[in-house]
Amino acid sequence: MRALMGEKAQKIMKDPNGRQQLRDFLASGKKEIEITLSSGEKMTVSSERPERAKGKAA
Amino acid sequence: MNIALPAFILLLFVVPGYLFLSAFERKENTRFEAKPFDVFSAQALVAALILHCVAVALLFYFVTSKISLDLLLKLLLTYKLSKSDLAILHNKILYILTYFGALSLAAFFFGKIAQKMRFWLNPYKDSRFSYNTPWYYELKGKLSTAESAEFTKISCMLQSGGSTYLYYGILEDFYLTQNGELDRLVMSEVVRRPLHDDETPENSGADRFYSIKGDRLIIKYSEIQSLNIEYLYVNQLVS
Repeated sequence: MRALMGEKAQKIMKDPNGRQQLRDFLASGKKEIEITLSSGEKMTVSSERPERAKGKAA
Repeated sequence: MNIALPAFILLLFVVPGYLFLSAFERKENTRFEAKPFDVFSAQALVAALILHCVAVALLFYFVTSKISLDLLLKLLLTYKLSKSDLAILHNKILYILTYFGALSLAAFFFGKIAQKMRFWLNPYKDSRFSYNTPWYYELKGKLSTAESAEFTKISCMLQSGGSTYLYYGILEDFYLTQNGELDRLVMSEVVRRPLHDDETPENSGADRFYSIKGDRLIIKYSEIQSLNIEYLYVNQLVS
């Protein structure tokens, strides 16, 4: 069965640069990372829900 | 022959019920509701009865009002058929086969629609009428608390060569057993480190991790000592 994999996640997984940065993120222990794809597109990957992160920031 | 023919006809009648239930409870070769075969058969029989009643009612109102169940009863009760009965069977065999074929296809189709409706109305693991397969919901991210998650990070502890390792990776696929229990995980971008190599102020980098070569790593659930699921969220930045 296919696991959870949203559209933005699929973009990252299909991009070699994205995959490498994601792998580094997994090993880093950080909570958030900014990923730049080969096309120049930027995305943030975070282990916190966006609403929860905003609430904490507030 | 006297026993076999009614049994065969009964089986033919119940097949749409089996198809409906199978389509309703199975997805991607996995059964959502594990139940004994006798319970499944009883439910299939009820489903078949409902499907046949609806089909006969639709035929009666929209196609022909000349529906007679006499011949069916004779076949089921192993009565000797007269020449006129055999002639009817011979002339209508195509209609009979078309009825069963069409009803079987419709049963499968409606089973899939009913499944989609159940998922749509009960999308989360804690929904009122969700399927009794928690792993499906967990690993598909179908939790009300992980609504906008994009993918799943798996951390698991395994024994290998006398040592214990932590494996981190992105979950791509998973396999469930016939009973809905987790069987295997398929991960990509996997890194691992020895369990004892914890993060310290002097050693906090990614150097502690060894990158697993290969596109997909398959891990048996039975070999996992502990499993951590973390949902990851992606936000596209405006450039």
